[in-house]
Amino acid sequence: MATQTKSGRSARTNAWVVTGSVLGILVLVNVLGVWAFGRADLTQNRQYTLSDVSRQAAGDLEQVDVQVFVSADLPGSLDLGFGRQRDIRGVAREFLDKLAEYQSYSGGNLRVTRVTDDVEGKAEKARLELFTGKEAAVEGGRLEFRKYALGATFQYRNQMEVYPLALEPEYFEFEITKILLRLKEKYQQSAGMRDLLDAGAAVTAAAKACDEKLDSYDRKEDGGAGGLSALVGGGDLVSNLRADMVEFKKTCDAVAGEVAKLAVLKDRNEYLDQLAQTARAYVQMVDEAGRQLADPQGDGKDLPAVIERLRQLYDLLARDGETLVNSPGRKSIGFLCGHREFCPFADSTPLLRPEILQMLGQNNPLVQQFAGQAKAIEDQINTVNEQIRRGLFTRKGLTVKRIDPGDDIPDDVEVLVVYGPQKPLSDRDQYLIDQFLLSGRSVIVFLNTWDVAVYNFKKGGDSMDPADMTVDDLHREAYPTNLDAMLAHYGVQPNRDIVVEKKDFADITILQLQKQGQYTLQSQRQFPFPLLPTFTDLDRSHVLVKRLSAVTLPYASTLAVTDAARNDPNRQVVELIRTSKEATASTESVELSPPYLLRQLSTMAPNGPKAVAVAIKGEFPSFFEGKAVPPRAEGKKGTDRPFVASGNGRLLVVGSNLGLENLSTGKVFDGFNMNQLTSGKADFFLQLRDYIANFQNWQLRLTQLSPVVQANLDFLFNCLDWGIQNEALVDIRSKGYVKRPIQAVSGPVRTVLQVSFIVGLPLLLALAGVLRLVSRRRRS
Amino acid sequence: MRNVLTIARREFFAYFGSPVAYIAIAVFLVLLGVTFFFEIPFLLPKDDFFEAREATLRPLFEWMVFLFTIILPAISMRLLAEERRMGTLELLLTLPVTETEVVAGKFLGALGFLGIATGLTLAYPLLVAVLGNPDPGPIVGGYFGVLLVGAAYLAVGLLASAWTGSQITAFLVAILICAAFTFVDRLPEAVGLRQMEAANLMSFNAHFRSIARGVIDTRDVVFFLTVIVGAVALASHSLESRKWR
Repeated sequence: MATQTKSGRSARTNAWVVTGSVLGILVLVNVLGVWAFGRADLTQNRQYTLSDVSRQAAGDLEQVDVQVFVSADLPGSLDLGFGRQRDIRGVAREFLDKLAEYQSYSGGNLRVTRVTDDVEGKAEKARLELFTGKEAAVEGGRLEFRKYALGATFQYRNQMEVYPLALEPEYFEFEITKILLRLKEKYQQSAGMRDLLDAGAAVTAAAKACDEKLDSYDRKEDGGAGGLSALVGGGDLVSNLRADMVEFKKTCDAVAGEVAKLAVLKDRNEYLDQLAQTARAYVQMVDEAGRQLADPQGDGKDLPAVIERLRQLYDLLARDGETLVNSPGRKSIGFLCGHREFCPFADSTPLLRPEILQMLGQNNPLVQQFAGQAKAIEDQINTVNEQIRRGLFTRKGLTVKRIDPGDDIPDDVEVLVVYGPQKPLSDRDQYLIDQFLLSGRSVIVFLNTWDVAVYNFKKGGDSMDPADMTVDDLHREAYPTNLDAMLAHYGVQPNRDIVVEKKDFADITILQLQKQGQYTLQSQRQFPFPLLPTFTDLDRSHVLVKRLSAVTLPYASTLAVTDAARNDPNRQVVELIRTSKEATASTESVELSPPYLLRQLSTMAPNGPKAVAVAIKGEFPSFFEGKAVPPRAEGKKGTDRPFVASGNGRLLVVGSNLGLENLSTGKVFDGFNMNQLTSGKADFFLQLRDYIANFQNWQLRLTQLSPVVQANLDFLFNCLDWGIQNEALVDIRSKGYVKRPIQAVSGPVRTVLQVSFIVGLPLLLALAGVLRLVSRRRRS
Repeated sequence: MRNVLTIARREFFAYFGSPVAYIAIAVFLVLLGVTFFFEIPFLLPKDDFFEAREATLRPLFEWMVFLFTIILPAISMRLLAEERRMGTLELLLTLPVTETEVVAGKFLGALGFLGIATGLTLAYPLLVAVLGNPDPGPIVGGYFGVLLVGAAYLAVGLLASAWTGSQITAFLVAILICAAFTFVDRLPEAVGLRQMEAANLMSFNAHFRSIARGVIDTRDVVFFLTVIVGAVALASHSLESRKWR
C-alpha cells in the first residue's frame, strides 16, 4: 500500500516535471523565434514587403534617429464614431516590425529606440497625435478618458519629421518612406536658404526669450505654480513687471532688433514674410506694454490684456517659425476656386456683410431673423469645408492653397487642381492655367459635366419617397463650363456624354421614407446603379493605376484624344482608364431611377471602349498663341510675366469628379441678392427654405456616393502625388490599398448560388457518404 | 513511421466509415455557407457577401476558425477517450507500437479529417475568382492559417482525450482550452481590462490573422507548431504515465 502511494506520488511528480519541461521548451522556442524571424509575403503587390524605393530611402540617409512611442496596453479597438470601430489589435507589433525592416535595409543608418517611460507625456511634447480609448478615470471631478500614443519621430541632422498616429498598417510603408524622402529633401533644400532660416530662427528665439520672461512674472505671483488666473486681476503681474521693467524691456526689445534685420530679406520667401508680419505685430505689442509700464499715472488695468495678446502673438509667431523651418522643398497643391469647383476652403468673402446686415436689421425684424439663420448655414458650410481640408489634405501632410479667380498662382504651387467647375472660367483664369501648365508643372482637371439629381429634397425643403418620384424630380443637366476647347487644344476632347456600364457598377445609397402611423421613419437603401460605373480596363504601365484593380467614376463622361496629340512625338499620351466594350457612352436621355435604368440597359447599344481618364506629358502649345493676353482683373495685383508660347508640362484629365461636389455659399444661396433685403417684400424669407434644401441636397448627394468617394480617395491622392512628381510614393500607396470588387449579381443568381453552397455542397457530401456505405455493405 | 501511418489510415477511415464525419462536415458546410453569405448582426457584424461586393475570403476564414473551435474538439474527443472507455487502449498498446506512435497516428488521422473538411470549402475561392479578381496571397495564407489553427485544435483535443475516459469531459475541456487560446486577445477588453501584449502573443486568433493577410511569418508558424508538438508530446506522455501508476 505504502509502495503504491509512493509510486503514485512519484508518477504525479514525473507528470509535473514533464509538463513543466515541455511548456518551458515551448516558451523558449517561441522566444527564440521572436528574436530571429523571417517572412514570406504572398500578396500580389508584395503589400507587406518594402519596395525598392523604401529600401533606398532607408539607406540613403546617414544616421536617422527614430524614437518610437507605443503606449503600454493599447486598447483593442478604436472608436470611429457613429458606432463604428476599428480593430487595432496587433497594429503596434506591425508598426515595430515595419520599422525593424527599414532598419535592416538601412545598413546601420537608421537607429530605432523605443521610449519606455512617460510615453504619452513625451509623445505629446514631440507633437504626436494622442488618441483616446474606452478606459476612463475620474480626475478632478471629471471623467478623463485615457490617452494613448502610437507613432514616431524621425530626426536627421537638424531636420525633424513626425509620424503622429500610426494606426493604419496598410499605409505604414507609404508614410515612413514619405518621411524619409521628405527629410532628405528638406535637408538639401534648407542648405540653399540658410540665411532665411537663420533670420527666422533668430526672431523666434528672441520672442521665445521674451515669452519666457513673461512666464517668470506669471509664476512669481502664484508661488511658481504658473497659471493665468491672476492675470484677470492683474495686480501681482503688473507689480512684478514694473519691478523688473528694465530687464523686461531689454529682453523683449531684442525682438525688434531681429525683426529689423528681416527687411533686407523681404520678398524672398513668403513664409519668412508671414513670420515678419507677425513679428512686427509682436514688437508693436511689446512697445505698447512698455508704454503702459512707463506711464507713472497709469493704473496698469489694460496691461493684462496687452500681455495676453502678447502671449497669443507669440503662439502665432512660433507656428510661423515652424512653418518656415518645414518649408524647404515643400510643394503645394493649388485648388482653383470661385467657379463652383470642389474647393475645400472656407469662403474668402462673406455672403452677408455684418455691417450692412446690422443696418438693415434695425428696421426689419424679418431681415434680422433671416440674417441669423443664413449666417448659421454659412458658418456650417465654412466649417465643413475646413474639416474636409484638414481631414483630407492637411493631415496627410499635403499643403493645399486656395487660388481665387484672377489670382496669380504662387511659385511653390507644383500642381494646380481644377476640380469640377460648374461655371465658365474667365479668359484670364484660362490664361493663368495655360501658362502654369507650360511652366513645367502639372494641371489636373476633374470634369463634372452633369448635375445628376437622383433623389432630392424638393424646393421648399420637403423630402420625397421614391415611390412618389416623378421624372421631374430626377434630372440631369449639363453644367455650363467652357474648358472643352482649351483641353482639346492640349489633346483631350471631353465628350458631353454619360457612361453607362452594364456589368460592373457600384450601388447608390438612397434615403427612403416610411410612414408608420403618424411617424415617418428614414432609412437608407442601396440600389445597383449603372451610372456609377466601375472600370477595370486600366493601363497598368502607368504608375497612377498600375496597382489598382478597378476605379469607380460617378456620372463619368468619356474623353477623346485628338489626332494632333496622338501623333505629336513630343507628347506622351496615356489612356489611363477606359470603359468596357459593353459600356454605352450615351448622349441620349437615360433613366435616372435605378430600377428603371437597369431595365433600360438591354436597349442601349454598346460603343466602348472609350477613355475616361487621360494623362499627357510633354511639350504643349499655348492655347493663347496668336491671341491677346487677357488683362489682369481690376484690383488684382501681381507681377506680369512674359508670355510663353509652348513648354513642357503634365496634364491629367479625369471625366468625373470622383463623387466630390462643390459646397459653397454661392451654390447654397443660389439666386440670393442683397437687394432683396431692401425691397420691402418678404420673398427672401421664403427662399430661406430653398437654401436649406440646397444644403441638405449637398449632404444627401455625398451620402448617396459615400462608399464610392471613400474608395476613390486613394486614386485622388495618387493623382496629387503624380502631380507633384512623387511617383515613387504613388507606387507605394497603391500597393497598400487595392480595391477588388466582385461583379453585381442579380437576385435570382444570388439565390441559386446561396442554395448551391449552403444546401448543395452538404448534400453532395451526404450523397458521397451514402454511396460509400452502400458499396461497403455490398462488399461485406 | 509505418506504424504511425497505419494507425492514421485506420483512424481516418474509421471517421468516414460511420455517418459521424459526414454529419459533422455537412453541418460545418451549412453553417459556413450561412455565415459567409448572410449578415449576422450580433455575432459577427459584416455585410452580406453580395452586398459587400468585395473579392475577399477573410470573413470565410474567420468563420472557419470559429466553427472549428466547436467541431474539431467534437471530432477529437473520441480519439483516445473512447479507446480508454472501451478498454481497447490496453489492447492497442500490447501491439508492437509505442505510445508516441499511437498518439501521432491518431493525430494524423484526425488531420486527414480536417483536410477533407477544409478542402470542401475550396468551392468558395472558385466562386470569388469567377465573380472578381481576388488576391491569391491572402487566400493561400488563409488556408494555411486555418490548417495550422485546426491542427492546433486537434492536438489540444487529443490531449484532452488522453487525460480522461469520458468523451464529454474531453470535449468540454478541449473546447474550453481552444476557445481560451483563440479569444484570449479579445478577453481583456471584453471584461473591461486593458489589452495585454502577452494576450496577443498567446492568441490563436492573433497569429491566424497575421497569416491570413497573406504573410507567412516564422513567428506565427513556430507558435502553432510548438502548440501542436507540445500538445501531442503531452498526450503521449499522459499515455505513458499510465504504466507508472
